[in-house]
Amino acid sequence: MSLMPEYDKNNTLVEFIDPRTKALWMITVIFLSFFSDNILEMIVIFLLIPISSVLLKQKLSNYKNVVPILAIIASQLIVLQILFCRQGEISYSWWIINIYDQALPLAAVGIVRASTIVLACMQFLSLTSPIDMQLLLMKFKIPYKYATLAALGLRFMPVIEDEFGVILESQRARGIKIESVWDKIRSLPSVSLPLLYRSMRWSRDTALSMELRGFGKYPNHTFMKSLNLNLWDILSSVIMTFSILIVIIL
Amino acid sequence: METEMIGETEKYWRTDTKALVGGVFLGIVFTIICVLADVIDAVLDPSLALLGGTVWAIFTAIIVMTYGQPAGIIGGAMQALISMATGMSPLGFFFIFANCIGSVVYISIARNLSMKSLRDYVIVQFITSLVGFFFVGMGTMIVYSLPFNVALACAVIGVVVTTIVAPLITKNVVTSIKRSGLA
Amino acid sequence: MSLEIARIHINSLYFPDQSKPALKNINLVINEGDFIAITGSPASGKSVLLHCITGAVPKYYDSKLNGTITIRGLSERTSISDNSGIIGYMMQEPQSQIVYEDVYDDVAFGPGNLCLEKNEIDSRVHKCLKLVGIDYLIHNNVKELSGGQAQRVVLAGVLALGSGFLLLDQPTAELDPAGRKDIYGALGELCHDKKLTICMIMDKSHEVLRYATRILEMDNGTIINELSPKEYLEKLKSNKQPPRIKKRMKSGELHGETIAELKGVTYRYKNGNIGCENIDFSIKNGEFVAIVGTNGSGKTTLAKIVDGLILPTEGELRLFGTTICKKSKIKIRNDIGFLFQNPDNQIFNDTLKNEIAFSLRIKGVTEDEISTKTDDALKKVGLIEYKDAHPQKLSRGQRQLLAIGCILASDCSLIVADEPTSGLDEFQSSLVMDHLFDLNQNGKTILFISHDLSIVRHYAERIVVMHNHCIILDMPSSSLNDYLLELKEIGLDFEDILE
Repeated sequence: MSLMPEYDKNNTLVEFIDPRTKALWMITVIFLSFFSDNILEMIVIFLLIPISSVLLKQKLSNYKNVVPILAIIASQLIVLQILFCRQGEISYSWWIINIYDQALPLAAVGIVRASTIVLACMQFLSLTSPIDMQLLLMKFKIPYKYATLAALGLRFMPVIEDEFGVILESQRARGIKIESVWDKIRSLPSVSLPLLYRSMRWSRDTALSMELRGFGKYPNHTFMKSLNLNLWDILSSVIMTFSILIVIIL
Repeated sequence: METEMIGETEKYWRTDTKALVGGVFLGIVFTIICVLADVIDAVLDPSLALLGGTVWAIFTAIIVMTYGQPAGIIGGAMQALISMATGMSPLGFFFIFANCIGSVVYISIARNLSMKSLRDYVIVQFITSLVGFFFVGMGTMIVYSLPFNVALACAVIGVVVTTIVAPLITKNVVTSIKRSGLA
Repeated sequence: MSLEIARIHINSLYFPDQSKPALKNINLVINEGDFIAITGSPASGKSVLLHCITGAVPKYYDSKLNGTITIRGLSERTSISDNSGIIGYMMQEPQSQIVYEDVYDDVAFGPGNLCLEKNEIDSRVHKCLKLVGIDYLIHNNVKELSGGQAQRVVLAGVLALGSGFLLLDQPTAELDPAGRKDIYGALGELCHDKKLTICMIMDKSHEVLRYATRILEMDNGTIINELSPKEYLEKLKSNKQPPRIKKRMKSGELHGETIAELKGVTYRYKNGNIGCENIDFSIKNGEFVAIVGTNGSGKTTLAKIVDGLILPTEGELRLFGTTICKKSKIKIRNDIGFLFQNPDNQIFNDTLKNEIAFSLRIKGVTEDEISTKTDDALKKVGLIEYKDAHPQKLSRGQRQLLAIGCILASDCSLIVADEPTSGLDEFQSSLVMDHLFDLNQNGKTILFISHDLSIVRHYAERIVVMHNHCIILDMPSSSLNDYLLELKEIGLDFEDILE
């Protein structure tokens, strides 16, 4: 199971939108979810993400990997709020545990907010290619040398993930048990250290290869692509900025 | 191009390609091991994230002790952004501060110590954990709407556990990396 | 008269904490159009020499260099990136050299770093991809490419810099025979047609001898011999070892009872893909069996089933006389050792002795016995002098020997090795295979997968051929010559260049 959502470069609709617009969309959605305490409003904000994905012809199955994780976070939040929330009136009491009537609504708000943040970030990553990410950072005056690292991270994340899978298999073949929770804790050094050493070796080779291909020779780089805002980008950016300002003022 | 040279400043401030790329790769490893730790935490200690916190403490130290800064910030930011984007943690935004400021704090104190004894590692880790869990605590209050006392309790437990558990592991791993000649 | 591209004059090169110089008394001149292949025993200094030319030594690897290296008349270079445009460098693993996922973007990375104009970059990308024969893959994702194709993307990226001097560190070590042929073919053409200068470390394939113009032999950090390809070929032929002959057991038989048996075994992955299909296969105690096949033929899946790492989705698996199910496999697998392609996926301790001790602890060996068994295993693989060294400081071949040492110490009856010589040069490969052969002579059963058909020919007594997830041939290696044409048709060329 890959952690990272995949960018679909064959989606021309997505290619049409400037990455700055995509980033602003992500910030707008997250911002609105932070500034809202009304559960209905938050659900509407949350639903903006799958709706916009469908409009951009993305598959909703891109988000399926995150559902079990959000389910675990949701159950933990519910338990914590039930045990520790002290807002509102006591609606149920048992032994030393007092359950307040605001516990579940607050848990719901937390769950929806967390889900919105996660899905907004996933959407942004699935809409933005590594080169676009690099160009976006450079638009914010991040030097080329550092902006390239973002693209490098996106490129190597799945590679190192795959390598981790191979390491798990190799250590299992050696006889190391990685079944129960205690097995997993005991086996942490034997699975993380090979990954650490392997990645360090890789990083050394990659850095050398990059330098011998001229990386860092000059402060600039010629990109084959450039970022240009079109009318749609400007219009949508104005609307999103306006929304943020209204929320702040109100 | 600045490389690892004589002098403490140069050792902890490295903008050569090897250090920067190393920071990226170790940031990815940090993310993957954190995922594993979070899975274990979900069963053993939900919401406390003790193992995840320990992994945070260890890797923040390893990246910055191996590749200096800005690799520490790069690796930390990478872990935070990927964990946010992959759904592993909605607190990812606050992790950016915990990881990046944490690594700056770590190196700022470490450069004034010999970092040869376990005591040095414990001191540095304690202060770094205070800073790191401050941001995580804020995150749990803002994102999850947890009460202040609960967030504070989780943060305190996190600081204590990471200060006790992480330094010994960090010291052993950093020593092993130095011996390996890979850094 | 050829133009001089590089002049390397090294009196000595020392790495920290080493009393012996890594390189000494090197005087080498490289001219335009040369295709130099460097060979030598492990740790003879081959890679170090290439790193000196690139400038990685001493800038990347802390060391003391006494000498001068002049490339195209320049001896002073402030940083490694100054060499881009002059030197192109390729390593074994294509993955670590590809920066962008899109083929076009990656090939354009180098020229983009040189701040060339967009038109010029576009022209170079198209030209270089065409030169290496993968222009049809121009907008593919590198994840979709085979190893050979990915390495050709790297080659295109290096050529796009416009450097006429290529340094290659075993560029085909991780590739299958088809991939190797692709790369050497492309390199040979470029050297011949475009007057490219190439200096490479020879891997175990002798394919490079078709194209090389000079062969340098290194030992103990110095160049001991320079030969023409013909002279080197003659030397190889005269030193060629006959295939290993198996000793008979005391009973007079070659092999004992059946230890692994697969009947009608099929394995389907969770995504529905077939790993292997309808396999009937058995292996007897004491056999030395090779599994060969092209990429995706099901070799690794079969090896993992025999190891008990995965259970078949259909059919029956019996190991050591027991039908294997989820419960029984853990117990049985204590008697089986699996040698993976890359030893780095298993090694994690900080000394060699701790690594072997760890393997023994998993098997439940008592602490009293661990020390003796560890020393024995290290002696057998020739690594006892590195007992307290950090495994990551060893060469790849030595780390593979350490992995063998771990299996040796565990005293497994059956050893399954998946591409044990991948990434190794000729000498290292021989070392590893010789150890496996010795284990076999001492009664262990060996099942190995290999793309290196010369090794299969030389060591295996039985060859199992897989194609399209099925076993199509299972024969003694003495019958190999009867099937050469059929095997060539499915992409397995057992032709020995020395012949």
